[in-house]
Amino acid sequence: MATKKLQLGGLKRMADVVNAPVGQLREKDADISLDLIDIQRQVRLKMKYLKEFAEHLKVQGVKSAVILLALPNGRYRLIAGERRVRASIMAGLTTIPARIERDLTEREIRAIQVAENNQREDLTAYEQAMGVIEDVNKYGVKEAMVIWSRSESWISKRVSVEKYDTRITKLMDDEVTDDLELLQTLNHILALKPDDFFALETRLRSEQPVTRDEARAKLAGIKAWMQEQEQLEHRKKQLAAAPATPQRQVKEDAGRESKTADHGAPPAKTGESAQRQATAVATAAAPSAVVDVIAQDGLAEERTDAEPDAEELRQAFQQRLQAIFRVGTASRELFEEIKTDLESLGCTKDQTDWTIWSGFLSIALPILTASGPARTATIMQRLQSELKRNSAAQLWDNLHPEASGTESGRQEVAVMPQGWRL
Amino acid sequence: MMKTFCFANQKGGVGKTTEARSFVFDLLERGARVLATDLDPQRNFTKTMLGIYHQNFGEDAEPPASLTADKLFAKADKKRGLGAPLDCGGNLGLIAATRDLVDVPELPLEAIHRPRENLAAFASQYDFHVIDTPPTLGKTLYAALIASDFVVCPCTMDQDAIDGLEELYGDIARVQEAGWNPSLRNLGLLPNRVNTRRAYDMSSLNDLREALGEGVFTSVLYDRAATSIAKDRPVWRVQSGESQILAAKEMRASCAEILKRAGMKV
Repeated sequence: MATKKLQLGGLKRMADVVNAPVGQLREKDADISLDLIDIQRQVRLKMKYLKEFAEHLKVQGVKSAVILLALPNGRYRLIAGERRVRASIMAGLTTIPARIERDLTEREIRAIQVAENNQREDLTAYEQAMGVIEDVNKYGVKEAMVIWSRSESWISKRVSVEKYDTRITKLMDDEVTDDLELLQTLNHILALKPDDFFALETRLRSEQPVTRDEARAKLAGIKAWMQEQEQLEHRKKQLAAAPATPQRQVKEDAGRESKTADHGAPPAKTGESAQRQATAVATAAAPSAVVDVIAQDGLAEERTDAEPDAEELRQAFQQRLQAIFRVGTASRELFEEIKTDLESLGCTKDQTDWTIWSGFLSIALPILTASGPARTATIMQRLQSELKRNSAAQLWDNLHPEASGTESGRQEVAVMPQGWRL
Repeated sequence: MMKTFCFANQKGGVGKTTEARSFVFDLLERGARVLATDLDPQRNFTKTMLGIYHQNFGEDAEPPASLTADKLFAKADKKRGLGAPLDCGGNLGLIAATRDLVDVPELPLEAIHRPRENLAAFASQYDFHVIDTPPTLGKTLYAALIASDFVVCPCTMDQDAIDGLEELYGDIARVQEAGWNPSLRNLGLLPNRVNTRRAYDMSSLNDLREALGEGVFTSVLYDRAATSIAKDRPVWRVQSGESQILAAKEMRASCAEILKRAGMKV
């Protein structure tokens, strides 16, 4: 298949800008009387510390020329330098040094304004974004790219600021951060889980760093959690829809009644709850095990009829993970004994290799079957690379470090490191 | 007065570091005093320069503490001073990259001007300064552009590399127009890893010349095995073989063209 021809339009446009002879920064053309200058509204939304600047100007005067457009009526339109003009007026000065332009199009005027603003580094990220948005609305994306000498992706990143929640734009406006990638992630987080956003916002405002990776990981976590909740809801619905026997129906109704009565109360309903837990341990139940038939005086029936308790599920889950740990430990002991057997029986190298290989497969293959082909590939690659850097024993120690308070003396349920992904 | 060249492209893997290495070696062989600065936390450029250090001072020599690239972003402390680049012997100084460079984006915006200020201290000690940049947007790249007199843009014949270059040109324009470094000069696009057997590569190279004209180097670096092997010494010092000889000629020619475009006698 033919590869697409290189798209060079954007590069050419940028190259023209970059290779153009660098204009000399012109000195002033003249000192112009302040009352001849018309100021139009500029993008600049804030004028911070104007009074202080005016005091400074009283002593030093204006050093760098503002930029004016000569109008036919002998007056001038201010193109760049609103702060200097306003402060000069405040300071009671009469003239100001100016560079005078003639015959400019609106677009050229805009380009000068952008260049001047950039030069002074006065624009906050927020003001910059607002400026870009206004230019895109007035002139379109392509023109905005020329005005700002920026690529399309740079422009569109700033355009998307328009859709941000006000709490996010306030972060920009208050100059807490100018990282647009971060702000976009925070915007998502605010939409999905406001509490998490507020926590991050507090950190940022107290000048603690929040990295992009951290925010992205948080967002990924929230999305995963939401997916989990959805699946839980889905399973609950499936349960509710499951055909019920007349006897169960009665119990179901009873269960629902008491459920609504207790709505809002903590899940622990003393004796009943304790017995539920006992059943949970015994059966390691999941909602899908609705038709568990354990003859325990109808207690099991009652439990399976009621909504599956999220707390129960979590406990059952933990117990299964602990079981895996025990299986792992037991496997190693088994294999050690098998090795001794092989030696005692005087088996050849090939027989030994085969026994260990087939044993490994017998344990690992069921897991890989359950994990699915895509994940399997990644798991095997990752395992190989981890084993290059650490021995299997070290990896095990890292996964299940020594801990107090457990039967085995180790942390039985492996804890996921922050920001980990396969 | 020290002349500073940086090698940049916002796409990785296009040959920035390889070119930067060759340029350093070429300048050293011309007898110039060269300062090498590595701003890429991957440290590939650093490792090559340390190779020179070990060639001169022995395999087991421990480089003493010296000025590292992350410190260039620190506010000038008049009392303490910054320290000096690592002397690698043979007229080569090194400001090495460290992992701390990954923290540069967290610094305030005005930090991008500090490396230029801090580097001025060494201007009389070196004839040339070569900066290798990381393949990312942001403050480190801006700092490199602000500190440089010239920028060279290696580029491969694929859309991702071209797009990365477009982004880079935008940043160069910004640095020039914002008055951060109005005299920064872009020496142009240096075609790299061009595969003569791929019609696509050759026609892309043609299209580039048509679109950018003088903005593309005359010298082209073709895809050669020799280049990828020679990481710790000039490619022209690798054992002979046709591929090596041709690669060497091309590298030399590109270094000469860099100097010519910068207006220097070659």
